[in-house]
Amino acid sequence: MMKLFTEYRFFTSLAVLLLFPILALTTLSKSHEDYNLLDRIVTTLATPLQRAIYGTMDFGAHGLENYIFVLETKKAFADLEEQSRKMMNQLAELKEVELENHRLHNLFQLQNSLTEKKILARVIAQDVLQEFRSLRIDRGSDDGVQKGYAVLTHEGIVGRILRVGSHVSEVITIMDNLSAVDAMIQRSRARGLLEGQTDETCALKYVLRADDVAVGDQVLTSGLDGLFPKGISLGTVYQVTKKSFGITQDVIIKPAVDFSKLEEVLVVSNEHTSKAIHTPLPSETEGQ
Amino acid sequence: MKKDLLRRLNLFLVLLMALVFCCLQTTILQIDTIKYFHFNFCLILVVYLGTKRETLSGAIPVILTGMLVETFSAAPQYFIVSTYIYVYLITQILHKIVSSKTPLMYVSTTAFMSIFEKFFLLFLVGFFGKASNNLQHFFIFLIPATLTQAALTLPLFKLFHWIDLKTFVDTHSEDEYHMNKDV
Repeated sequence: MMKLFTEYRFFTSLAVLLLFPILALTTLSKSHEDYNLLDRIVTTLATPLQRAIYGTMDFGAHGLENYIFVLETKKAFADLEEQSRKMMNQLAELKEVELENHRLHNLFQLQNSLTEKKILARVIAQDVLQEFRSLRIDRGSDDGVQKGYAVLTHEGIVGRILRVGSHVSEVITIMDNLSAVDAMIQRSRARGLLEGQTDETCALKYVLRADDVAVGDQVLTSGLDGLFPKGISLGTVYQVTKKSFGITQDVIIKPAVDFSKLEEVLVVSNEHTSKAIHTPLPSETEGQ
Repeated sequence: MKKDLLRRLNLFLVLLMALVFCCLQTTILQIDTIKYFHFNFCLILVVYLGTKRETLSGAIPVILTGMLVETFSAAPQYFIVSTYIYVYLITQILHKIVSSKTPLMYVSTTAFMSIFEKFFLLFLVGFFGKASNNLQHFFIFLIPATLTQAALTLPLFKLFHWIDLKTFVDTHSEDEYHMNKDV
């Protein structure tokens, strides 16, 4: 057989080559929808391999994609976090500016309502001992501050200038034990002397027993001490005690100003007030 | 020469510490929740000087510290200087009477001096006829202030002692400041 094939090699090859297209065409002429035997064998062998290769590729491609995505997400997250932090800071700053603006607006309104010379100052420190209640502000004689000037906020009286440096001044607050402010009850016009007592309250002293004072009454400056402008709020009556004896009554006042949250204050000249208080009597002017 | 220089450096450091204490007490320690503890570092410094120094050499930093503290306060002039001088002298007397030099003794001395300081300031305010204004404050804060000062005694004593050792080390001289190494 082999000898015959070798002998007629050319013809045999020719026959095979002629037959191959015929066989191939015959196979193609079959329906595409059915796998033939060869197809089945090949597909059976190739499919797991294909799956494995494709799966690996898919895994690799997706994994890489996912990895890149995670990296990008991480970076984006860090950026967003940074952005968020910046925005939170900005928000806090804006809130602070808003609050400051609100306080300054209130001070500005107060400033407009006063005719005296005014200087805006910032509180920088408090008294070293708790027994005394003073504040230090960042304005001094170079800024026009003088000893005895009144110190106010939009809430009311803070105190008066005790000592003046070139760029710093010390304010003795109305809460100090040794401070005294001439005051009056807004409703009944009863007068007394406001003195500091504790961290929370002041005492309105020398209020006559017969004077009409009730809890909740507004206490204002009388302006008679020549230090503070008249009619500025000092606080509200917190407690009234009338003893069974004596000519005065004990009146406790809650200050209008929240001293623990004091940041900006207005220093007000009392020259105008002093002049008004010390206006000479007609008899005095006649003699001159 | 060296001894003199070191002594001056020591005085300078004591005053520098007092200045830092005053700055702390007038700013950060005035925050609402903290201020009720009534920190008074300078009082502890004065008590320390009272226990460690010879009467005259200790008096100079005490007076200067008092004057320094007064610049940070609305207290009338010489209120704080007088208070500190009395605190210093009583501490010296106590230190001489009580032979025991234990940490407990230092803590008790500071606690006692904290009470004395508050009482003495109340007494001085009384000269202005305003003692009644300060009375409520005195009773409310007497115990917290005493406890705070007592709690701070040993750490601050250690700090002051360390500075003393660093700035006054002269093994050939007498222990002029009577520095007790137990603290």
